[in-house]
Amino acid sequence: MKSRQGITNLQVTAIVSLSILGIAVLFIPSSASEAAGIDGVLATLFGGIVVLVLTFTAILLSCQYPNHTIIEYSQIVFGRLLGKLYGFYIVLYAIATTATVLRGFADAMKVLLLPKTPLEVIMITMMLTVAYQVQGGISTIARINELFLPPIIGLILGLLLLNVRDVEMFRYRALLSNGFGPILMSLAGISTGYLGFEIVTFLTPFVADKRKLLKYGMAGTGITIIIYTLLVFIELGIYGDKTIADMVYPTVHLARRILWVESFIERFDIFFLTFWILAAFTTITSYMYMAALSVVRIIGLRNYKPFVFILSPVVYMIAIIPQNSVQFTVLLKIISYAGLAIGFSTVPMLIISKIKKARINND
Amino acid sequence: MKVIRRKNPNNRKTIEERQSPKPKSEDRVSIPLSKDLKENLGKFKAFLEESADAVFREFKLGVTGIPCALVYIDGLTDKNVIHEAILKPMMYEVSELNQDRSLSLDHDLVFDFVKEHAVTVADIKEVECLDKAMLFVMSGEAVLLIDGFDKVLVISTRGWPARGVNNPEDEEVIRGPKEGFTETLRVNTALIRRKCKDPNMVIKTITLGRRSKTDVAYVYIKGITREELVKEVEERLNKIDIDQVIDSGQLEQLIQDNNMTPFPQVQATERPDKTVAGLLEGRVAILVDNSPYALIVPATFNQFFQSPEDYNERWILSSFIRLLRWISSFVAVFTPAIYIAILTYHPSLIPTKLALSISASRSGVPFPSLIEALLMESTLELLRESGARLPKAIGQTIGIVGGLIIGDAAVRAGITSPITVVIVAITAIASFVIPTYSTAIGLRTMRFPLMILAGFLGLYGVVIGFILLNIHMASIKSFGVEFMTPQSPIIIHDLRDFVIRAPYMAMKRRPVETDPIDMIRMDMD
Amino acid sequence: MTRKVILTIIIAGITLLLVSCWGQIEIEDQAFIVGIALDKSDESGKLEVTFQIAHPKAFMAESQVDEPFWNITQVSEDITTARNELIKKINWIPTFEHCQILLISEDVAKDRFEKYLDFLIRTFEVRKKLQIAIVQGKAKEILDLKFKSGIIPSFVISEILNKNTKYSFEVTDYSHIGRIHIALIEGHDFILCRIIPLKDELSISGGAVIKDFMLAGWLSGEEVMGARFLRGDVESGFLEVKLPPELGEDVILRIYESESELKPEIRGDKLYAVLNIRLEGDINEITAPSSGLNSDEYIKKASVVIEKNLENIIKRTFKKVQQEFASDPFRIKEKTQSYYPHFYQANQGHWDEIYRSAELEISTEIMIRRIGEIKNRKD
Repeated sequence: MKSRQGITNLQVTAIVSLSILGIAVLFIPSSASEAAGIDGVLATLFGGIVVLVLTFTAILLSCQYPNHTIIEYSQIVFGRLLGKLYGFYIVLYAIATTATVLRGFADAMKVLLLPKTPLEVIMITMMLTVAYQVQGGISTIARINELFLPPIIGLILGLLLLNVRDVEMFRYRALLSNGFGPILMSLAGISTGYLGFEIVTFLTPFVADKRKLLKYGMAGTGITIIIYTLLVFIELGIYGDKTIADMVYPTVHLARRILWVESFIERFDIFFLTFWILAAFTTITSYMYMAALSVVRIIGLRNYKPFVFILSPVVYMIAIIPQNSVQFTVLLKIISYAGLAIGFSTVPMLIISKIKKARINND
Repeated sequence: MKVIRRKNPNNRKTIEERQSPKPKSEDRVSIPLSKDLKENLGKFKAFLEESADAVFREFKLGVTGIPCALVYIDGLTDKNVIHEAILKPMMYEVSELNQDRSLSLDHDLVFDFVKEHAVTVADIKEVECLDKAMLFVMSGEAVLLIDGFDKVLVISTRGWPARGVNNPEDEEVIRGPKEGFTETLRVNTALIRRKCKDPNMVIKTITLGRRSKTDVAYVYIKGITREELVKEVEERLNKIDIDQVIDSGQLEQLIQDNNMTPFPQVQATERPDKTVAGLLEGRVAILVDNSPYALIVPATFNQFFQSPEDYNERWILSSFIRLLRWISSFVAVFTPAIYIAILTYHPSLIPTKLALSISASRSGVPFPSLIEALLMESTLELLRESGARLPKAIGQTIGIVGGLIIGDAAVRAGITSPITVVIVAITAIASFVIPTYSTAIGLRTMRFPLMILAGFLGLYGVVIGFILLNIHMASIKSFGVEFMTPQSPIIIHDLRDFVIRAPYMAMKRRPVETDPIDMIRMDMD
Repeated sequence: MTRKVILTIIIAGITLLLVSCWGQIEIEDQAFIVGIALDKSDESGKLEVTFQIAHPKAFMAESQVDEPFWNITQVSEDITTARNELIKKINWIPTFEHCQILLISEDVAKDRFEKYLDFLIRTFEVRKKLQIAIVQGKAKEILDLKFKSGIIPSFVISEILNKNTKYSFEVTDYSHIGRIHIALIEGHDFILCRIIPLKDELSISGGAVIKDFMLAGWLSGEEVMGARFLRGDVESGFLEVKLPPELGEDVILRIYESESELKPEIRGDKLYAVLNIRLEGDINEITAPSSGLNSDEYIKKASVVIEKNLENIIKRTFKKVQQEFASDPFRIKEKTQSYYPHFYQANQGHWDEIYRSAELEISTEIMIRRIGEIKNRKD
């Protein structure tokens, strides 16, 4: 009906920020604290800024080839062979990440909410829902992300507000006592918590108004930076770095310690978790969409919807590989660095594509 | 083996007869008319002779003695018009006219003479083919045949017993007009015109249904409504090839986008004020003859939560009531599921004293909570449905009797626990807050799968159900507009009529969702 | 299209039928443990774990139950094992989801008792509102008491612990699991509530100083007040001060706002703990009001005496805890880590000596705002 075809810019913001806000939000304070102690707050902030820059380059790069996803324009930038290899790398990364996030989500569910339900059941029900969503197409994904953005952000902000008065500022006196060293060393690790922004490389062909894409895409990452930094700030302020580093799910503890809402909801953490399921769901759908779309585009076909059902069992197989939480952490580390590599690769790709365009213009 | 059953040889013949292709109804009508009155009359009689209510009035035109005939259906026509405006002038006043005005009643000019001087009705048409004339006769017009002419005059004589303009029962409003549509198309279009006298409002009619030949009118305001929307409506209507169009409800299902969803994608209303409000927002209204429900397209989920009195009352109160409606719909759908999930998977969510009370009150109940809740909800649906069929007074009593007494007895007998009864009652009351019946039913049915999900997977199941519901609703489109506008895609401008109802000063532009051509509706200078 | 739908429905239906409900426990099949008491058992290495289970009908409006709760005692190594054995004995499934209090008797507290608390923070079952208190005597006896104001002892005690910290300075508010969690990880000391069982009733006053998760000693009510000021955890309460006769003998002030902040300061090589206190209150009761009660002069004089009084209490408490118990429940160590990270890192090895020789400097300011509704009682 309306002349616009494709997803709106607000939807892009929603997709980007909700792809980042997935399972990492549960344990980012503890990884920040493990890596840099009380300076974890600054590490989170700077890690976010690094990712913001990467989002910037990724969007600029994608706007150079407005009708192609990264699979296609990587072949233009790197040449056919290298580009195809890079495309395969992305395919593997997307499938593996979907499996990892799925597994991380199911593990968290088992510990925090449903201890007696078998892991397989949690994963299969989530997979079916994700498959249903992805085969509805990017427009459905965009609309659901847009629908879920206000409640999720509202809930996290509410959680932070309820806890802010218990922050003990004296813990921050020691900020930067060891200089910037620890922060810089931990930047790479912390940045992996912001993974999810690479979805922008797949979105450009479907966006209706590409001119404002840069602003709105970066806004998506920006929202997450604010949320993560505030979260880590409050957590470290209340618990101190040693205790946080010891926790597996620090954010849930933050929810659990809210005591004065007791007359109505006794266990705010369960309430929080039900909303968090929405955040995890959106992350998994983003990666699943990436996986299906990249597989299809590598092969050269148009319709990715049947591939969703082919890929689901593959994802499930990978998700059950880790036998315990230690192995899972290893898997998480691997794909995190793999994803960060993709993010960093947008910088040279941007430079190369600009050079190539300049050359074409000169000829 | 002997054949036990003898086949009746006559059966075969009857079956063959029944199955042999008969000529289509339309083929029975040979289209052109002849100049001979007897022949034309014969063609009409071929259909209508067997019907007792068809009348063939043959008479002569004044002094000229030219044979004429009037064909009409008794019961569908206003006989006064026939007496006073057709037969009387044609049978004798014409002669006086002839003498007075010295107009010649030349044989060739008779037709035009009759049309222009003799028949004193408000609406008259010339028709040259039989099937069209037939349709007019079946609609209540009188067809005048004059010997020597191969065309006929269709004279507007419609009049039949009809219900008066009443209060729409299902959409009662505390403050606002109390007129509702009736079953006559012309009355309905008149009611719409009354509310909006803009000459740009166009009412087009088509005939749908091969046998029922129902008049269907679609209304829109030129200059506000998008052309593409009107075209889309026309296309969908023209695609309909069906025997009979019974009611607008059936038409709704034939033109809607998505058949596999319990949610309506078209607004159906008995209220002319709601219809006109929709027209002024750039929508198209469809009226079906014999149906008091008008259809308004496109429709979004948000609209099913609006009621005309929201606009007739002050905005603060209306906003509060709207908020209440949204919360109620959430309560109506999710409460039983959340109750089951909390009781069986997460009892730590409720305060300790409440948990203990619930545990005590459930100690005698034999069923697990899931079964018990499903049982009670089904019973409630039974009560509700049976109450709807009974006459008003008894229906209300059944509701009270069923609710209080049977519920109480069930608790005492130990079949169910009081807390379940409370939950089910709250759910029922919450679902009645939703102003549109079809939406309320759609949402109510969602309760059951959610309860089952909650029973198997606790709050995780409820969230999965919530996600699935949202995915489903977000993928529905209604005539090109996404069903969940303005929540998704977010159109900030339209949010002012969403959960709240902004004061009139803030609603100077029409909603963006239908993409109207002319956006400003207030303070236009 | 229809085939797809039918197929989906069939598959979903079969899946649902094949599975069973896993984690589902009907609420009436659960036994809610509302209180736990730990006592030392005669068998070495084991505890007597007493669970208090609430009878569901205890809180229903109409019913009158003879036994609104019952206490079951098990002998086992720790709480989780005790629960597992309990499952074998009763037909309900016991759950800690609504547990209100955990009472530890002094015998158990004399040895390191952190191992018993591990499950409280490792699983999600227990709420953060669980209160822990040390009983000077046998913990079991507390759970057997009959209260007029409440049906189930666990609830009564947890409500006392919850609410009383706002009304009295003499009860510590450091009793939630949430706070003790931090202590568990960081290893710092803290003060728990002390419950003294008396005949047919109890008294919650004073505190127990816990060092390295062992009971180091007891503090009286007054000393707990001092400790709270030192830690910075004061809210409101009543302050009773003895004044010289010309100022009215005993005075009870109602303090409705108080703030205290402890900052470490390093001067040279010595550690100073600088405490700033600010109080605001009204006069609630005076034994012998003098004629000049309603004057600025009186308020000034009285303030000075009251401040001195308070400082003495705090100094006494500090000395006792610092020297006798050699414990630091005031978080001076943490604050020094934050304020002077390099100093702390350099002197980490002999921190205890530094702490023992730390000096306390207090500056108090009390504002007596109002003297009440009457001025003097006599001329």
